[in-house]
Amino acid sequence: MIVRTKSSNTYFLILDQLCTEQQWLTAAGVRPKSPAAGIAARVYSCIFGGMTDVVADYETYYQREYRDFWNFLYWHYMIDEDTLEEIRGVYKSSQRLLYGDIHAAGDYCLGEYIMSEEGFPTIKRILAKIYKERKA
Amino acid sequence: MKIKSDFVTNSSTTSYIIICDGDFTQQDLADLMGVQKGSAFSGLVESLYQSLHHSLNPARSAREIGENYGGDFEAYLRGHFSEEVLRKVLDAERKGRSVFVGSLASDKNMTETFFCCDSFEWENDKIYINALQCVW
Repeated sequence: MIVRTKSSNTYFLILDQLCTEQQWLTAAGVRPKSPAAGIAARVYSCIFGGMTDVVADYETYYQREYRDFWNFLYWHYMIDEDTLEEIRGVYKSSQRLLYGDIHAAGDYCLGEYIMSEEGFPTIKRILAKIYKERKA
Repeated sequence: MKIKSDFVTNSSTTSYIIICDGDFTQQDLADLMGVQKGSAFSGLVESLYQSLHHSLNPARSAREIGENYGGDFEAYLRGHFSEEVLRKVLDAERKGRSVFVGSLASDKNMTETFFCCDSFEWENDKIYINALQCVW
């Protein structure tokens, strides 16, 4: 699952485990080595490039500074309460919680497209397909 | 001289050329891009097709050629594309293929903005699209 923050550039990924680029391309439904495969690979880099492992960061560096994990999430990432509640509602401690900035990979226009109302459903569909297939 | 004292925005356009056999259809574009049926990128193809189709004109009757190049089609192709593209177009016309030109704008929808800012050249046995002219 992916949750956008109100800043529109940043997001949280809540995943059972990371997916590979090949799994991403397969779920995207693009022909290997095609132009669409090239775009899908760039999307993968935008989404997964430079992600931060939120729980590992908290446990390694910040645990003493904050009341609890949710307090850390709220203040450290400066997210609003709606986003916090959305994450709290779906995240299970056995999962990976990752934080990313869509522009970290440097593919600016593609990043803008991904986070737009036009592009974001594409990302949600790919993630849903990958993780539904894994559960099956 | 005009002085603007509020927010100043910038927009850009990129010219493209399409060579194809007969009409240019959305399915042709999906095949060219390598987007398979039911793909998460189907929406991207549909939106790009709408943008291309909206600005598509038969190459030799494009308004810009008359306005900026005195009706000189070859000068237009040299100016906007390259000698190689010019040769490709003339060869295509000799074979009875259709040649279209148009432009993508960065101030339309997010899909068009992305492809306007990107540069690409795609080709299969049915279609050739060149939108290399724009480099941001």
